[in-house]
Amino acid sequence: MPTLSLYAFDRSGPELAGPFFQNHIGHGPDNWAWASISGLGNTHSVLTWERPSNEDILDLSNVANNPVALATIDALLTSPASRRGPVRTSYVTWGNMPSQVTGGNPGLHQPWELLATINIDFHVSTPWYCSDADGTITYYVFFFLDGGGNLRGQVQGWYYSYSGGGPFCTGSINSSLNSAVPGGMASLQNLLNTFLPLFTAGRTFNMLYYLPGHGVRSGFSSDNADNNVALAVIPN
Amino acid sequence: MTKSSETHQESAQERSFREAGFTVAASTAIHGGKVYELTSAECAGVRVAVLHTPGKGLTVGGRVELSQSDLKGTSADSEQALLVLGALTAGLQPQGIEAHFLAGNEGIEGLMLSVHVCQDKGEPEQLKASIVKITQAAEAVAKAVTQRGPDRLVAVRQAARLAKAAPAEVARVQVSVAPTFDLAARDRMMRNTNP
Repeated sequence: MPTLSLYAFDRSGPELAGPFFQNHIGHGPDNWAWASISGLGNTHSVLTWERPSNEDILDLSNVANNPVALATIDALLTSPASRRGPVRTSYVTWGNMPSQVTGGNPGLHQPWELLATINIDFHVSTPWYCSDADGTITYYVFFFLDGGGNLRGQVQGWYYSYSGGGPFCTGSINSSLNSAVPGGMASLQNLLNTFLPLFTAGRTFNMLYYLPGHGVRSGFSSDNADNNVALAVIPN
Repeated sequence: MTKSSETHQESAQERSFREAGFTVAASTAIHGGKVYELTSAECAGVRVAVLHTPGKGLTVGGRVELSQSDLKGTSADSEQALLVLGALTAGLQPQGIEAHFLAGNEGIEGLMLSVHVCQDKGEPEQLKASIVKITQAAEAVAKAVTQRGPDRLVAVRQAARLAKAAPAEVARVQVSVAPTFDLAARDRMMRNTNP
């Protein structure tokens, strides 16, 4: 059945992701429904989606944390670096991405186009004379429908940042990351090329959009779009 | 300030800057050394000054303006200023970068981020790398200090982290529908897909 979904975000726009509350009401076709969320002290933006009954959902966090994907991701990080916690997914506008990524090809996207982010939190253990380092590796994936309505995903960049590693170990940490992270683009693209056809199963689509969270369609709950987002598609 | 004239002979230091791709906009002799103000497209709008102290190397500094931040005009001893300086110091230390508040008669005017290069003249590539490091840090910090309240410390800490990325080098693809929360794009898509 169609679903009216209401999302209330802490941040000043849905495109900024972050913590949110959600409420979902299913309703009959051409029928009425309303949804509300109250008592929220920290809401700065609201999003509503009228979601058709034939919508299909790709829960990106679910996909990124399946054993096959995790094995590929974990292979990028060699000791003393290791993944810390689940892989997080989110979205970001091209205009809000780091200039080090967008600056080389600024016309690649409109500033308002959204890319998915695959975020791998990591920890690096260091010798006694250095501080351990904690950071995040981010891969940017552009999901889109081509002219034939086919769902495609293209890995378009990477970024890492971390704190710690001082006073002497940042050089070797950088060297390891500079060696491992760029190669992850091809690994991630191979994963997408394998997995997307399984999801689409030969279907074409006329619309796609991001939903904060896991793409649920019922109930009231809270989540954080810095950690979980879903891709919704409407089949032809 | 030393006057430049048509017959000014380029010093070894100035030649080093030029080979690194920078123009000396001005230079000032100070006790123990000389400060050079540099300009270049690499500086990305950040004001860059390099102190050369013979025998002790170069210190590259980049100024962060606080015109959009409510820190401007406050005291460098205020609790907020000290918290921001602490967050910056903790974050930038692993990169060998120091942070200082720049204060004038009416309180804080800006921030100076600096890094030391040990070689006396500095190889051009090393000099350029140090300047790029400082300007990138300065750009990130300038954006972070415009935040207010507790978000500012989080943003400053994040901005001060050591970071690297690669420019997106992918071919443009033929896109029919791309995800967005932009209202104008939504209206266009609705016109195209709704009867």
